[in-house]
Amino acid sequence: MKPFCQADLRVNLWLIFVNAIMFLICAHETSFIALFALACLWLLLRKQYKKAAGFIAAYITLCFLSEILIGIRSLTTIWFFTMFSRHLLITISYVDGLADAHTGTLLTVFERIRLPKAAGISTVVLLRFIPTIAYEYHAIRGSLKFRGVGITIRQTLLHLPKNFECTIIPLLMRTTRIAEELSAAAMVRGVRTTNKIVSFDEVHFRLSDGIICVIFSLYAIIVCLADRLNMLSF
Amino acid sequence: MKKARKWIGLKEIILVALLSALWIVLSAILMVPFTTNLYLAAFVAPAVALVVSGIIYTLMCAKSPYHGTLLLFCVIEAIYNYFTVGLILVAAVNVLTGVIMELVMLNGGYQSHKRPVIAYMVFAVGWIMAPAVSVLSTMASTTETLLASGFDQAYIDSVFGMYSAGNLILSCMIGILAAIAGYALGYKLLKKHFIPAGAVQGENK
Amino acid sequence: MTPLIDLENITFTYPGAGQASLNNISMSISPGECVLVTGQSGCGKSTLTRILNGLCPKFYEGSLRGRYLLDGRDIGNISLDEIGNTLGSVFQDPRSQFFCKYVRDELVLAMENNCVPRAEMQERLLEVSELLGIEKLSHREMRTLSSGEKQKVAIASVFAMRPAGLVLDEPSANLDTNATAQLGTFLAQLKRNGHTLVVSEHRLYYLRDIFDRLIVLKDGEIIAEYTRAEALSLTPKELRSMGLRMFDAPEFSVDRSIREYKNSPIRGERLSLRLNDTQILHDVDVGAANGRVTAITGSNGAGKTSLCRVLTGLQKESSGMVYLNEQPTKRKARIKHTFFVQQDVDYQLYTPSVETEILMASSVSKADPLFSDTVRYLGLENLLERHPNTLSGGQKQRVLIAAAILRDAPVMVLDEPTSGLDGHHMREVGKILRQIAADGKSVLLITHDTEFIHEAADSIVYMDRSKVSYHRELIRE
Repeated sequence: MKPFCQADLRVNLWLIFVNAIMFLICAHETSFIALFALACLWLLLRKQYKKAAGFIAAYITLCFLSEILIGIRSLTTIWFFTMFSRHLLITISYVDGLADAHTGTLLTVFERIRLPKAAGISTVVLLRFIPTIAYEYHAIRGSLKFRGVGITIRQTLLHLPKNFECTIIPLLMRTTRIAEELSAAAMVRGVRTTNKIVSFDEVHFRLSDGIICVIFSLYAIIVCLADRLNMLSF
Repeated sequence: MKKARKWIGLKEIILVALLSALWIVLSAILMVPFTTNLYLAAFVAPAVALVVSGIIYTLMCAKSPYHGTLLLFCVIEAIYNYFTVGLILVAAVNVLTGVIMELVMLNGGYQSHKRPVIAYMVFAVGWIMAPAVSVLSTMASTTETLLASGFDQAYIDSVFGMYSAGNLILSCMIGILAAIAGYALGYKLLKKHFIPAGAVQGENK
Repeated sequence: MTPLIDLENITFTYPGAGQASLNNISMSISPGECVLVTGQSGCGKSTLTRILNGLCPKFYEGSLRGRYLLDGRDIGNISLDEIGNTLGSVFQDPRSQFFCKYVRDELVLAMENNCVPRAEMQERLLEVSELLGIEKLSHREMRTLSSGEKQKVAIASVFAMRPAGLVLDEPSANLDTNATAQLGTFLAQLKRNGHTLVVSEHRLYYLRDIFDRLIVLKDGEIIAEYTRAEALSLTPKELRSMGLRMFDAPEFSVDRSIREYKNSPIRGERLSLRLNDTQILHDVDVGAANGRVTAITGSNGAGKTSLCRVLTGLQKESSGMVYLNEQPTKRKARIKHTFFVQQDVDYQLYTPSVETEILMASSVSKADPLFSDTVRYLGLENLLERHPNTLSGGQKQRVLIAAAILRDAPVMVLDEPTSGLDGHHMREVGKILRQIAADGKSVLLITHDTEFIHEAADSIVYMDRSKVSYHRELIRE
């Protein structure tokens, strides 16, 4: 399903940046609620209805927990966590779409914002491989069981150093091998750190992208000003 | 005679990216058990992560002894922090840490034993300070929230007591010791596994 | 006619290696020719493919002597990607050659990095997708594809640059029978279209109608070169003496059905497994007898590995029961009584020496005669001090088999133990497993390798779409 708003990736990057600045400036919870509302609008424009609903539910839950936990000294850490995580939901909303971006598009965007290609290549590799780490881990842990290691949680905890060594070493050996083979496969297909690329999809910063950036930024600035003028404290 | 390469190439970029991905995942997992207590999260968790993930760092320096390796490692941390949680200050501190680490490694640092340890110590400080900087930067908003909820200054001071100058210095010192221990452990595992396996060049060849 | 590939006295030595991996290799390959390169493990096939695609020495460092002309140009003057545009490379392991998350991104990667105009990219994307029949895969994630689909994507992504030829390094190693047959058909089509093919392979049967020349390597040298007619007239004895596999798929048939599993050391009854809304196993009844080797085969995705994971306790079944010696047994107990050698050996090597690897978690000590007998039988006596990761694939397999023997588990399961093995080592593994079975163990093999089934198995379990189609005795012709 095509999102209503198929914005350039630079819009995502800009909105993440704007909100990161807002977090440093805004003080009142109502300001964050206002920013969160905008983030939900962003998700709805991208037709991420389920995600928006989930985030709203999470935000409400975290607010509720925050209210309950405030003042309980022994649970200060969890209180901090509930506070930060609900603010982070705002940023995570704008990250939507980045992980699914096409490789060529991502590399082109990085090039356009003058970031070194190494950063783009690293991001692509991160997106490609972080999801596979769990598979690698389970394959190693599964095989270890037949060698009498890590069969139960108790055994794992009692022999933690051995379990750690037996897990991390094959994981790292595999990783270095994958890195070598992947680099070879990339290089024979022309991937280099210095070349320009032509992405399969056109990468254009359109007027609509500019309008979204301006509107969202103006809204954030208004919220920020209202916050500083204590107009949003209730 | 072929000039020895000084800078990181595509092969190393991909390796550093993969090892950084492992680092990020491993350190996140190691931090989880400590999140129930702020002091454990601030003092113990980073130390544990630095010790345990030392092998990843050591392997990275051994497999990619070129300028740009540690900067890229920190930039990847920064990209991860920026894109997943939008913590721009954390990302900025990560990049700054990477720059300092590269400066430490100038002029043959990657070929020595001591300077990677020093760089790892710099990383430890940067890694520990980065979230603290972020928390302290939002102190104003958190304080206002607590005051608005009717709590007194004494309680607010107890919440932010963790981030006093003394505690931060202590946390950094623990991190530095953990970095040394982590590198030592990492080097031990390197000698035990990766050098005999031919994955890394040994010292006495 | 100018040869596309012209090697003259090529010698290549990896850094720190005592001897050259390739020694005075000279060969000429004309445009449109299909050359099959084979030999025992360690003969230098992979190094030869790396020379051809320029990875040695531009990527894998080493000292290269001799002359290599690619389409009349000295290879020293051509960059890696330029070589790649003339001679595309397809590697053995589909999992580690994919850069991108999505199929479409992988298909256009080379074109994007070579700045092919957008309109032409779209045209070529359509062309290669149709050629390989992967149009519907375009929007899928790479990790969701089967091995056969991944290999098709790998070929398509290279083919999008319209190279004059392809260098393929054991392309069928991870493919099932159907996918291998499809690969053969596709390569035949490429050849008909005038493309040059250099295929480094152990499995020869699917290429018997395609290749023009057979080159056999040993210890880095060409020991034999045959025309197609000469190669096909080699007797099985001659092929065996060179450690090679056969050109013909082995003849065997299946006989009486095995349905009764009473007194089996391991059996599953009405096993079902459902994961992520997908039925992986459906009502499976299967068992294995002591003293016998049971091959489990079927197309990719049929549920073979999942079945064995359930039987050995790695995976919890959704319903049904697993019995060990007629006792219903929970997962942890199954793990203690079985040993599963998984396909990727790199996940299963944990210690810094072969000796400690074999003895890991075994009650047997180094002084025990069983240890020395096992090590000798498996040809590992000179490798005990070596780090397991320095061993060849076949040697690593044998280390794990030795660990399994010393663990004394009554049931041993092996997943594709002959993937990437030459004929000689494949037959050796078959012999070893038959001996293990003769010693009273029950051996289960997950395999697509029909030659290996012929060598080693007593019965075949055929799985199709999460069910067991049949379990029958094997009769060798």
